[in-house]
Amino acid sequence: MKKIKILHLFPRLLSLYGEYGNISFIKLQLEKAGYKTEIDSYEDGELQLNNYDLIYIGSGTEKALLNAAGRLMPYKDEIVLSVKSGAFWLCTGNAQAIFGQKIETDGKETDGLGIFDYITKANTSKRFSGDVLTDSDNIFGTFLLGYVNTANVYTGIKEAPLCRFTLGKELGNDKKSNSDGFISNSFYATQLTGPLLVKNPAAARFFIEKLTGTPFELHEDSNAVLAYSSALRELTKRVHSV
Amino acid sequence: MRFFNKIRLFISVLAGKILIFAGRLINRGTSLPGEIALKLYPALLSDIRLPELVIAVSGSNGKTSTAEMITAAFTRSGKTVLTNKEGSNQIAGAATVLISNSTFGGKIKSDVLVLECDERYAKYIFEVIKPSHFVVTNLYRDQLTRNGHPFFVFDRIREAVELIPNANLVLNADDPIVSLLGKDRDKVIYFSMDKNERSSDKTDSVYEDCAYCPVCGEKFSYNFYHYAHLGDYFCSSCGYKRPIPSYTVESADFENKNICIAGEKISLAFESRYNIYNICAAFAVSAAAGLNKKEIAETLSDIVLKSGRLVRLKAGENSGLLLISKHENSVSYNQNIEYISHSKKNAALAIIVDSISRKYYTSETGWLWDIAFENLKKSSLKEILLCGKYAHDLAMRFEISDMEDIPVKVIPDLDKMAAKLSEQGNGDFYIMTCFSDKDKVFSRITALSPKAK
Repeated sequence: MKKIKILHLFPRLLSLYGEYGNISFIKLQLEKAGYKTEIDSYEDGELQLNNYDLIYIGSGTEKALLNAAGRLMPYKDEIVLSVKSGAFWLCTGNAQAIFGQKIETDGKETDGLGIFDYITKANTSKRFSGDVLTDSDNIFGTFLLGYVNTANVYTGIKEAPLCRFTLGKELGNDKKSNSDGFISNSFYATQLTGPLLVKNPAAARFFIEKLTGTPFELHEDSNAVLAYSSALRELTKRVHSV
Repeated sequence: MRFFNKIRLFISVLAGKILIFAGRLINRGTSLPGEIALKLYPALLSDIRLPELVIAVSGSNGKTSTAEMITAAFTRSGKTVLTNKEGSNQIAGAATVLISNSTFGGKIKSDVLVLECDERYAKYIFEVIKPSHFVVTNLYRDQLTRNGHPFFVFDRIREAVELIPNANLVLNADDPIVSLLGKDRDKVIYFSMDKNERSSDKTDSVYEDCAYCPVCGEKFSYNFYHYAHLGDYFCSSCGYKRPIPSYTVESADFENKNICIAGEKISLAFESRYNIYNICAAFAVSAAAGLNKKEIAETLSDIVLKSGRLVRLKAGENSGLLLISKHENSVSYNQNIEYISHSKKNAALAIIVDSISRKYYTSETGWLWDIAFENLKKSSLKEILLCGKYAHDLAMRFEISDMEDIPVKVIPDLDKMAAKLSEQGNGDFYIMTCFSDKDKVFSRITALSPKAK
């Protein structure tokens, strides 16, 4: 069977909220399904984006995010090419800021990679955080749940949102509406933080099927499905009590 | 002070004292009297006359233990010490404590004030109370749902430090985030721990908050790690490095349970490195404030804390130990994992995560992925039980960490867990959980006297 190659950008620099769990979980599921996997990490040196089935980047501190943006800047052309050519990217937490036009942190501007039109503003003394639940009208066909923990406010996202919050409605991209993240071709961005693929079996299935091209389903007695059912029940109660 | 303000001070102290008295009768919380007194007279805290020695203690972990040790050291030297109790570390709580010990004229009667401060609220407290000494124990990932990340908390605590330019800072030199507070500042006393048998060239953590230099953002290096991001560090790029400490744990003998600080031998009731750091912080500030080093060492020797995190248990015929951690705080879990790994006991371990927040269910479980459960592989555990409402979330964390020959079982129901631990012949056990879930243990399993082993 084919070998699945994943590149995790900055697992040490951008390491908040246990987001490495997303990659560990996918790797485990792929291996259980009989696939070989290769997970590479990138921190510095020559960045090689070709030949990866998935490129992943997750949350960091506001300072670390700017650090990562600076480290990626020399490879801007390669990254633009990779995104435009339809390579599969997943970007979680606050990492989507790197791919916009600019990041304004406490009034100081830093260039983003400029692949998308939005700008990001962050006030490092103000956090936006809370539990979120989405509606089921999205590419996963069901309710996603998780947590948002960020300083970032995005304006000018023209792409379609990845999902819409029904709990934590004020935690959307612009911190006014409920639209979260975006999809452009095969670039998927969400503000959900932490091990979101572990928590959302439908999202794990969607991305694993995209990687393998074959149907995938987690067993209904699996810990992932049981944890999801329990969390969905609890968070749904909160939507109705808000 | 103007006459009118003296009257207001008198009235607010009186009202506070009456409320504290009434609160004791009806067993209510500690913040309300202070809150009301502050409403009656907002300048209350600046007008109260404090003792010369005001020692504030903050940091992610170890505040309560360190404050308790400092209190013990000063009490032993014959001083009277006023201190705020756990849970009253924000401004209204501090006000309540001060009122309780104040004369009606607004003078604190005790010789020393030891004030435990919440990391984020220290800056509000320091607007009105100027400590003579400020101890910062460490800055870790702690309650990230409200704290964002350790550098967010660092920024808040730096704002607090800027309000007290004349205070002596007592900082953990081994924590590169905490040490930054002392950069370009006079009157800084650093404490640290030298390399010992438990030091390593790798961190024991699954993440590194200082993988990159907190000053310049380039790769950061360590001569050795103690745990998490604590150790002997340096940046080859900007030159930032571990400052030279004034008080150091020069040696640590874990087998015979003793350490040496400034030439003084201190025996340990609990031989964890986390406890040793607290002892060193307490030693440093007490010595810097003029106490006799030999006497401090005698006081801190074998000190058993009221705020101890170990409780002996009995389930049927089986003996157990409750190791209290803090949910949303991976370092506190790692601390107990280290304890279990070194104890070499062939016991069962139940990990309970039943409520993360006391108020509602939260789906923020990222912190479970920050705990180094993999280090349990080094233990002699015979089985691991994953329990509580989040048992399946825990189970997924364990799915990716190969426990080798230690079986892992998922038992969400706490009654079933208790029944299993009580089974005849099941042997010794550990339970690892948070303060917020510990009563669920005590309602099912007998707690013997809370005592550090």
